Amino acid sequence: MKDNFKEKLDYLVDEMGGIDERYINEALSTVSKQRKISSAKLFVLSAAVICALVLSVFVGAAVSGVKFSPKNSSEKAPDSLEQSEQLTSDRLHVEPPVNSEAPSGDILRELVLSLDKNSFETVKYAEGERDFLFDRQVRIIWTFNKEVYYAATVTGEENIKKLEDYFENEESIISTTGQAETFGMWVSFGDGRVLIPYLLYDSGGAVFGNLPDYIPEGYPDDDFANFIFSLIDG
Amino acid sequence: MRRKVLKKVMQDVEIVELYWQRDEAAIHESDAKYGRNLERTSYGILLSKPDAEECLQDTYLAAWNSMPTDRPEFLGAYLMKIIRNLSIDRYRALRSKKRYAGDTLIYEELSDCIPDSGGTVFEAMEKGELSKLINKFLEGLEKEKRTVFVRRYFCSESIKDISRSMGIGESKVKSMLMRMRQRLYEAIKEGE
Repeated sequence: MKDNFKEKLDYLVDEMGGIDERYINEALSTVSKQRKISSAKLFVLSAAVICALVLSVFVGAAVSGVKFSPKNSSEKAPDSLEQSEQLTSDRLHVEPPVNSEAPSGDILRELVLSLDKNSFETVKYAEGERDFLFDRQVRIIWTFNKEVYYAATVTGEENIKKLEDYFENEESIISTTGQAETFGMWVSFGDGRVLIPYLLYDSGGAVFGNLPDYIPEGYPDDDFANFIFSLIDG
Repeated sequence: MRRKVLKKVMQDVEIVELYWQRDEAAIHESDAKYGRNLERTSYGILLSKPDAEECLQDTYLAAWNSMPTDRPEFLGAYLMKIIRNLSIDRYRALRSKKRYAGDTLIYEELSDCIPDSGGTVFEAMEKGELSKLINKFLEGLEKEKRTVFVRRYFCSESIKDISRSMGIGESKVKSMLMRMRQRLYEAIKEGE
């Protein structure tokens, strides 16, 4: 007799192990059509993006009046190497866009706030609903009001390694006090680890996960903040 | 353990033959063909990569020791059963030592299928009886639904992985699973 609920559950899980091997084999051998389609889609998409880039360069050049001829007859050739370098430097000089300056901890919050929220996925953060914790996707998760939790997936081994390295470096998180904001940020590595570069100022506490040498209230230094923003903004 | 396989993946029957010949290549070939799925299953139960890796090694050892005399028709399913059992044993050991924070996903979701205290049929069931009922239940499902069910509750795959590999939306996977749990609950309750 299986008296208590836990015992019944154990029994059910054990009996689930008795599923016919034919069905298991059937499930294992289900061809991943979607994955194959995705690869094909990816190829077509990549080709389309390359075409669009090439086209945009040509159209952009045509609009701005740049000529692709090897020599521009209206310009006199520079007389010396210094003149040539100066000319090249002048041509290449571009004013940096406003957002390209390295965001400090607080600027990062403002920059993230300025992004189009609709372009990000949202995740459930309530206790027991945090599916993202173990889904093997690395995500940066943030919230402004603790109602909606936005997420940006981090891809590329290099980026993920760099992200981990920042957390290894104690100097990457700067301590701060006295601010009352409701901005929080977490990095979920999809294997249960959740590290915190930007704590909620108002609570100053981590619900789960850990931070090496825990700082009650802190934000990432400029380099780290800049890196995080580049990951979020793509 | 896992290595890049540049040659064609071997057929199950060829790999089993390697086991019978006591050729260690059997383990490499098993790993190349099924290692990823096996480790994912173990991880789905234990939620710990080191534990899942250990279970994977133990699985190959168990398969090495059981062949011969066993000659499985479906090697993947055979290995999957071994790793599932080992992972569940390890999960229970950790749970009893209070080293496990919460219920693993199969436990959480399958609890929906447990009839209330009035479910006398369930309570009176002996070992193997419920398996028969589950297999009968699976037999009555369409292939797609059956695959989703087995991947979730036998292979412990995440909904995201199932959704991606089968090309169906996550919400559809969730609703399919919910309906199947309800049907299984009814089937268990009625003791069909």
